[in-house]
Amino acid sequence: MKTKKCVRGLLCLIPKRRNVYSYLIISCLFLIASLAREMDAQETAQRVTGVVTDAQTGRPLAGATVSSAGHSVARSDSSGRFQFTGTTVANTYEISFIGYKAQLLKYTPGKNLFFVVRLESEAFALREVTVSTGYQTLSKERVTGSFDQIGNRLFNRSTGTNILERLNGVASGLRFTGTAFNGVATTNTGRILGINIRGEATLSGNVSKDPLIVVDNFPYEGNMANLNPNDVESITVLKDAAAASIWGARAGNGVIVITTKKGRKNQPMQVDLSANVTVAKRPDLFYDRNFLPSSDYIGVETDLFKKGYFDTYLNNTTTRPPLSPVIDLLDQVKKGTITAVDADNRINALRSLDIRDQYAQYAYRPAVKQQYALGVHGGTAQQSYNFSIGYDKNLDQLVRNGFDRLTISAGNVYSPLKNLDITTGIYYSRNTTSLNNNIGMQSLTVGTPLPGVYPYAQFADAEGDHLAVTKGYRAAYVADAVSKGFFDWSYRPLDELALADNATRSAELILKAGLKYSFNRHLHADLQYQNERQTVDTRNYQAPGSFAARDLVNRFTIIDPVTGVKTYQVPKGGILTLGDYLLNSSNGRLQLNYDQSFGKHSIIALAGAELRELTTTSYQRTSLGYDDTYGTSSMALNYSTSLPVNPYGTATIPSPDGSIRGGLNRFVSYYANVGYTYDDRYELTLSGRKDGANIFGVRTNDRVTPLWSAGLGWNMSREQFYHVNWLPHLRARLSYGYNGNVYNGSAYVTGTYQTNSLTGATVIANISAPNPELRWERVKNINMGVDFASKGDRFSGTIEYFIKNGQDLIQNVPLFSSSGYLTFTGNAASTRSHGFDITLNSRNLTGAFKWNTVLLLSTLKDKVTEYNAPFTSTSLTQNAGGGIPAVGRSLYSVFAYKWSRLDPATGDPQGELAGKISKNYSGIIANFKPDSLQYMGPARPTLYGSFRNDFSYKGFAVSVNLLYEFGFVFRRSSTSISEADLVSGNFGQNLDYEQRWQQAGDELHTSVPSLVYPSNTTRNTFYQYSAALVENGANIRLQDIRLSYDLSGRAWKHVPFKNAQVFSYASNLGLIWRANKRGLDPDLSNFNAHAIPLPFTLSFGFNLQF
Amino acid sequence: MKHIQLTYFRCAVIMLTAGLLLFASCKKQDEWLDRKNTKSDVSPSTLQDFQAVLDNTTSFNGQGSVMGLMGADNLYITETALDAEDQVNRNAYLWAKDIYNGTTAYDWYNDYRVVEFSNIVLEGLAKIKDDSESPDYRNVKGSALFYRAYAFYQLCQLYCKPYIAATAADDPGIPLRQSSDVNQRVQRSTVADAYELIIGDLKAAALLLPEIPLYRTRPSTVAVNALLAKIYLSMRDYDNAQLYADAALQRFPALLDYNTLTITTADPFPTFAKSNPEIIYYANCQGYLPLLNGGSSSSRISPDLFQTYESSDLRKTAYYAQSGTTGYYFFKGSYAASGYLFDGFGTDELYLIRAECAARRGDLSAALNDLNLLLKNRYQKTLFVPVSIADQDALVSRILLERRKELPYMANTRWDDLRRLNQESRFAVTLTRLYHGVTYTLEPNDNRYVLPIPDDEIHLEGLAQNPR
Repeated sequence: MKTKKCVRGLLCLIPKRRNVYSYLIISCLFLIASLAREMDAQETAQRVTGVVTDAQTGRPLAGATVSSAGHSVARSDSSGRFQFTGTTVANTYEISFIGYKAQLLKYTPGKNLFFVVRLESEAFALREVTVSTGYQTLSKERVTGSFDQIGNRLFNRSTGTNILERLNGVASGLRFTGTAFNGVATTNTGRILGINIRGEATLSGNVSKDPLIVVDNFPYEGNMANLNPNDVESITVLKDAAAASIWGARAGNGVIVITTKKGRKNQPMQVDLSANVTVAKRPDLFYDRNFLPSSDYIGVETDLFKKGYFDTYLNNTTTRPPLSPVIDLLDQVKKGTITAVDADNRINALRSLDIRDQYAQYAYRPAVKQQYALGVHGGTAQQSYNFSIGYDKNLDQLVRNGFDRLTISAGNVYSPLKNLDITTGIYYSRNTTSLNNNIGMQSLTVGTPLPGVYPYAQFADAEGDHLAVTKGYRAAYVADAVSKGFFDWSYRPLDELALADNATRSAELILKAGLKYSFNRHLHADLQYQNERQTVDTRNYQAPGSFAARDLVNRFTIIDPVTGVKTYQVPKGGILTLGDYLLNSSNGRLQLNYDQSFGKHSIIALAGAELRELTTTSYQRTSLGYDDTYGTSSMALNYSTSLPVNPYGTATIPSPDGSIRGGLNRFVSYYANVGYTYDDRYELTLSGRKDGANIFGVRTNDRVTPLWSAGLGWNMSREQFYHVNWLPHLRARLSYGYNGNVYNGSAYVTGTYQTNSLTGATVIANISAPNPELRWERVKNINMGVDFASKGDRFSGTIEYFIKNGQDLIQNVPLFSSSGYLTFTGNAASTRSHGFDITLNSRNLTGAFKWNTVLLLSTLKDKVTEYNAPFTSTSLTQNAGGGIPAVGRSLYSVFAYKWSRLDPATGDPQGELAGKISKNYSGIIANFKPDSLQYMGPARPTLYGSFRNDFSYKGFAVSVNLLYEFGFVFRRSSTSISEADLVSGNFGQNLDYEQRWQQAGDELHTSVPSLVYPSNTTRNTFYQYSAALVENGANIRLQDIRLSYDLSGRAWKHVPFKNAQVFSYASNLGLIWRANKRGLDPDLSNFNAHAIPLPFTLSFGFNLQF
Repeated sequence: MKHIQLTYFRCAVIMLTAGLLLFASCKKQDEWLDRKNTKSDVSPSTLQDFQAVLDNTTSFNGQGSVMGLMGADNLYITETALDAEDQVNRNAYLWAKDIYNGTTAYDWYNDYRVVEFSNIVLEGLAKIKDDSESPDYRNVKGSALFYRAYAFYQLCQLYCKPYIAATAADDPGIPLRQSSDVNQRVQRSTVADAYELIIGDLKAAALLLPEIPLYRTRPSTVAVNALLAKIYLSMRDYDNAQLYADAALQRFPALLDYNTLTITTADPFPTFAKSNPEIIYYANCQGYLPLLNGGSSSSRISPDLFQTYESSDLRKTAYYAQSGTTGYYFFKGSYAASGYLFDGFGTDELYLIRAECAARRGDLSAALNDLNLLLKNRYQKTLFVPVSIADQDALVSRILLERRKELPYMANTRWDDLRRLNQESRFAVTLTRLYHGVTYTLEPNDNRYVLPIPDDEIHLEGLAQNPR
């Protein structure tokens, strides 16, 4: 019955075109199975077998060569095992492996049929030899794709709470975009890792630009902050198609495979204990140039006051908009309530104040991070185990903000039968992020017309008493509030800091189970299941004394002018906002693995199928009138009617959101992968994968996309004709194939159901433009690589050249607005990137004093070959700092309006229109074709990498890492040249204000135009996006220095540990060279953003091994 | 041999497992993947979905066009306040040649969004079974036709010349998009075509819609008649305007007596939820800061209009509040509370339309009846003296003044009236603004009574620009 079903199942697959892949995979299985049978039959009694391991760690070494008289006869497989057919006479075989001292193996016919070879490492640093794709572990010698491996030692070179930050500057082709690791992601797509591998192929903001993160075997969907870096054994970065195509549709931006520490069978128990503490300097708040000092700010305020800019607000006796103390004083002079002299004295006293001093004193502190970890692993003949526990406690640079994390993990492999491994694993992480500081730089707001706080605001007086800052309403109105019967309506930043009770608690549990059954030594089946469950709970309690609670109650309080009776339309009490986000991901995988060598042939193959489901649900709700003592709140409020509010008008009470947001991602995948090696000289790899996902609305046959890759490897140094003695290892690789990218978009008109607040009806909102032709993005990859090592490994490295062509890239195309949309999402762009990834290792000194140098160098040239989104007059401004795609130019091209000197008579900025100097700003902006603009260069570095030097003498070691970036430009901020923006906008203030043109002759030494009032938007836009504000981004940075001392327990008899290391690590040492002359750090977003440089940090710690 | 047989057996087990797996997937895979990605997502396909699309008041009732008011003579903005405004508002107020400076023109875009969503609904309806007898189906179809027609009409008010029977067949109109396909290019029609389509769609909608809707944000037969009255009035077709105003008022005659209100409060009128009896159809305008109700607004009621209100006129207090200590007054009396301007239809406007049409046709007693009925509900009861004018021209003038006093901030109504009345030399007005010593003038029938087509339409779609 079952057989019949099977046959019918197969028949149903064959005729359908879209099932060709399934058919191929089945054929593959047949092939594997029959080969396994054949090979078993061929084996003879003359067989010699053995296993190669690392003498120090006991880890099996894959890819070690067994040779006789210069001819290789066998190589070790992924479990370190090798076999060959012995000769009939006594012989000596050499077991060699790069980075290890070769060993001789004496063979006598009929004896010693099983050898255990323990190779001693000869390298200064352990050479990592296996790479993990998440589906299999391969010897680096047998891969044809582009893999970069970061071993345990390199990974632990730096300290850090987050795994990814430890990769900065040590992985080739990996670039940090400076936006990483912020906050807790509470949405499915809210995670932004801030790293890219070999640039980006994706254009749209709707498609994830992140590499896929894989932990052990399955994609990791949770927050990176949940993972403890001390559990990491190694990290493999998969860069090209041959490497990443196994991950299918989500690997378009590369894959980062994190392998955690595990025990091995027959390994004595090993205990690792580590602890470190990191202290960061108080951040430099004075770096940011987007700031106007008090004296300048008061100058602007006084000038605007005279021009009547504030009149509307000053005359306003209804909504009472807030104004700064200086404006209030000037108004009082105008009204004659104080004298001009008195006001001048008080205003002059404010000129010397600087809010940044207040921030530094009250809002910021030196950050302190502590990290402790304990790990145990080992194994007996029948089982292996690992257990770890880690604790982190971080005090953030913002006072009262912090992070703490506890992680526990345990794993076990048990073999009840010879051929059966049962794997179980559990990983638990819980962490708390405190977000109590809302008075950090740029987070204080005043309210229209002054969005940002004035620079002379003070948080406390000389006695330390907390002071109020204007917020929401005119100071005079607030001052009267209490006498009118309201709660105190003033805002004191330091009170708010003390009262805040806002935390995000995240918990994650990963459960794993696996079964591995070996049919014979060559073929095994793997069944794996993993469930990941992450909850993120947010709780923000705004106490009755907090400004938010007082303000809400006051606004909705009606005070009868005659009787003084108060009606509280919003109940007195606190505000509690609770949010919950739940992520649940289930993964199942069935895979067949085959690994066998016979004669000169060797095959490693796998085939399998995978199901993944990711569900998310979240909600947020707010309770008003909340009493934290009894946990009660008021429910029976009138949320639907406009009620009278203070100071003026009507409003509805903010309603608790009862909606549940939910998401569901489903993937089904089939894959197969074959690697064939002939005579250890030639490798051929093939990989195919078919992915399906529940992309909403897309036609069924488009839900599934096939992706594939092929690779070739040639071990030239093993050829008979190869006689280059100084370069004993030389290997070339070539790969070709496709990756994809999922866009959770829709081909049809889609919208979201909501409840209408006006009628209460269920309505559909957010209707998107349909695109029936939506397809998956595809990225074509070509990778060519050469690996080499000189004699004794003195000089080794990898040179790779890659071409990455994005096809059908999804982008937002600007639409004419009579379509009803401003943009529309379509597959309308192609890109072509190419570049080199070069890794060079040099062992300069190898005696007692060792000196190693590692150079990572990546180049990246990307070009848009097709781009259907036309330029419009707002293209420049809509892509503010980042650059825009343009055909024939980089994906992130920085364009600017052509700049000509300032007008000597007026200080107006001048550009070019029709080849002539022009002040027709509207004309210049309307002349938006790329040819009329000046191309300044790419916004992303085209040459970047790191340069690391390691020195050691006996146990002492010093490591210094430099990072560099060249070949890009960035747009910097300057002052707005519309004067009103300096007080009304969140941006526009800049120290360039002081260089502004003020009188004829100024144009000789400044390029900052004169300021005008009333505002002239086009004049300002022209200046902000002109060539005058684009700078060269090249820079060299001293990233970090590590100092350590290693103590071997063997050398000291009375110590209880085997090995010990103490270290100190300094990072963010700063730029040592920059091309721009303005002291700007190009990696900090300078354009319309406030930036605080990462402060210098110093860590101390130790690692012990028992 | 036994060994080989065992291997074969193992192979069979593998093949069986793999086969079963793939078999299962073959059948179930599509089913398994056929689940939507986001819970709240919907691809509208049922009648209920289409009704929900149209019930989204934010798109359909919340962003009516209002740019005309910025250029009309009911408001004025002081020099210092105008200095503090952003460039687009300043351009609109001073009738500058270019208004949007390359930024998105929301009056244009928001109305075309209504057009697009209505087209989506109309195309979707065509695909489901035509159950034309079902009231729900008829309501959805009628509503979509109504919303699209009203959006087109608002666009015509701003972006093409007023309807002048003699030239309408040649005057450039607006793109009359009747398909949701964004790849389809539609050039500007003529003014005549636009009005023909609008009126045709409204008449079709009248046959489908209920007389009184479930919510006032939905259209109804009464609303269609009200809109037709407004449109015919703007076309100076006074017979038809009167016909449709009358049809609407026959079914929906209620007026709100201002004597029953606390007119000193910030929002004196019953809010939407408390259903103001005058509101036939509810909509509000998208906000330009100077127009918004509230103390921060920088637009004030023009003093020459304000001084026409008699002291016994309740509107003087209900509509206006004093701006701080300056002695100037700003508008607060919108039927859309919470600081928005009302853009729907009320019976007050219909009485004025019917009165004007009657007066123009010489039926003075009917005109006076309507006018006095309205004013009785606007003046203090004890002090109200009914209007009695025997001269036809004087009565038309008086009704036009009452129209201005009743609907001062009613979206583009004043702008549209200026465009209409400028065609009669006796009612034509020249508008002036003084700003930093420069006098800006807008002559009757000036090209600048037609706003510029937004830049993106010129660049991306190649529409013809209006001369200004």
